[in-house]
Amino acid sequence: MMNKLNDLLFVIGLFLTIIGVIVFLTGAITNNDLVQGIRVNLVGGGMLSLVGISMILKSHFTKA
Amino acid sequence: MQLSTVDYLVIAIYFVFVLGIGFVVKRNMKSSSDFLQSGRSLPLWITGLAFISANLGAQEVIGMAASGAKYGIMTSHFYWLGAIPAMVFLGIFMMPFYYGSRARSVPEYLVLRFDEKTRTFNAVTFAAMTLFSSGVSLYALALLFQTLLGWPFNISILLAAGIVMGYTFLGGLTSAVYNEVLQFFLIVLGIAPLVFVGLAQVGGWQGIVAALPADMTTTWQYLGSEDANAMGVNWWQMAMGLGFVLSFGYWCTDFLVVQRAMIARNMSAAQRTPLIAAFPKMLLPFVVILPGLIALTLHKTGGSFQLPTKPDGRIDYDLTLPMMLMNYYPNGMLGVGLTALIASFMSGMAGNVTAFNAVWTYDIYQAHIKKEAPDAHYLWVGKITTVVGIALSIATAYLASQFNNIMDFLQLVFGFVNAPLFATFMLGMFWKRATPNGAFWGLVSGTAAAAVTHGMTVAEGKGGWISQSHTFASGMGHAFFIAIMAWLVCFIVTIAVSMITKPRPDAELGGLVYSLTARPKSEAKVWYEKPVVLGVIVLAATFLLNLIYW
Repeated sequence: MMNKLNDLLFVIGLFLTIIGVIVFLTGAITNNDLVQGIRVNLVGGGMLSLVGISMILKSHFTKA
Repeated sequence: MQLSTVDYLVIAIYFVFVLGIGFVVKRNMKSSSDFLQSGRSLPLWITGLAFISANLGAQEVIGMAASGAKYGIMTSHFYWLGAIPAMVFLGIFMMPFYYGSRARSVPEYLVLRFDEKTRTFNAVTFAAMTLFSSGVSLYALALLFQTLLGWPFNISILLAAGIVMGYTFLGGLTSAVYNEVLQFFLIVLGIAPLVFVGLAQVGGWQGIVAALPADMTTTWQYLGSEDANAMGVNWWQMAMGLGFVLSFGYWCTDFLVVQRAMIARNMSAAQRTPLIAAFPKMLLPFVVILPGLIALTLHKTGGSFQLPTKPDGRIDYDLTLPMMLMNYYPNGMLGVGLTALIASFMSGMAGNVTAFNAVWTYDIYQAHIKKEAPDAHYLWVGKITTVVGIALSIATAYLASQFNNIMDFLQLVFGFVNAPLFATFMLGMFWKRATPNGAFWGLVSGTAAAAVTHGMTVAEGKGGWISQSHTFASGMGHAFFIAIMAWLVCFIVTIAVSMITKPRPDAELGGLVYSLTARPKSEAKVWYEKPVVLGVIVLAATFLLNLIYW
């Protein structure tokens, strides 16, 4: 059984990954997220996904 | 920018997850300690992030961006002067007594150190304060929904209250803490891209410095007099009022934040909770204050963004951050940004409700209404209190909607409650001669002194209901002075009454007073497990930030 630490890491990681991927794909598909030379959805979605996936991996490899 | 399906999808996923967290942790809610104290078993990084997130409610996120636009980088004093030193003091000096005494709440420490009447006075004022604060969060959230999304006010209140009740009823404090951690990541990751975009447009920090008056881009240089800076305070008010009384009063005695350290799994983690929290805390101004400075720069330079105005034409600083999100974010990140704001409102409300729960159940119900009952009964009371707390928050939200100065009133109440309380704790923890009667009458006198000072001084048309002995340049300087007076009177009266009343015997004060408590042997194996080392690093880094933005 996972401990509280792993539970939380996984749940938050999953949430951030899901919304990160949605935002990233929205930017990639619609291609209209350029603001001041920055692809906001790609940057924001990428950051969210990266942090989310890191948390999921950490929860997977952390001993209960 | 209008919200689209993808934005609503992000918001809906957030609602599903917060309720899901409630269902996940529900299976662990077997005792009142599980529900009200998370079983004192949470790991350090969770309590650390929850510690700062408990203070990262909507008033903080939206209010700090608003202050950034109104006062400039001087707002960072609320972090680098008004938070970090107090957090270090709490971790190194005060947590050993809170945690070591096994008190379940801040008021319960008072009954262990002093007596029942002192505990009850603090419990009642704190409970009232949390309900007001929770109601204001709810009111502000509904107002945001109404303004930005066009949702009906009543529906917004019921929806937000229903979701918060759902996850706090199911998972108690654990659920609230988990959602606070989630909210922390949402706020940082949801607002950071806005800072990148904004800085790119204004030409970085140098562009801000070039466009704004010098007092708005420095922290200390223009604190020589009240008239020299937009905040209207001088260095003495800032250092003594914010840096000492209000800051230490809030961070060291407010149960809402201290509770997050008290639920750590051991003494070492409890001590390190505020110290670990201090690291992200010192960097938060770059996420929550900088957008306000960017907005003001764009406004002054005639850029693509203008600060929002009220119907009477005055600038509505509180809408700075939401309007920046609406202006700059494309659909997708707009949903994330708004979800971050919603999360901060709901988590602010949940934090207050769970703190109210613990204080009501332990310090009022168990102490005065039903002393000896099975634990299952107190678990049931805790759950019912959640429902009642939410209902009362809805009532105070409607009350808040009737007053246009409820936020000012709330800030004032914090000064009335927390400032004198810090004097009580300082003397209680570090002076064994402080007596129960001294503490009680000191607290009552300090609170009364705050009211009298407010009545005799005035700022921005507020206060002065007794006389108008002095007019302050700003409401903030006024609030700082009131807090100083409340602390000072409490401090002096506590000492004076203690000198003429009987102290408790030394034998009863072990573990509660510094001079009568054996120093625990440090079991830290590496430097980052030592609270003193962490504290020194935190203070050095904060000093450096003050120097950089001097």
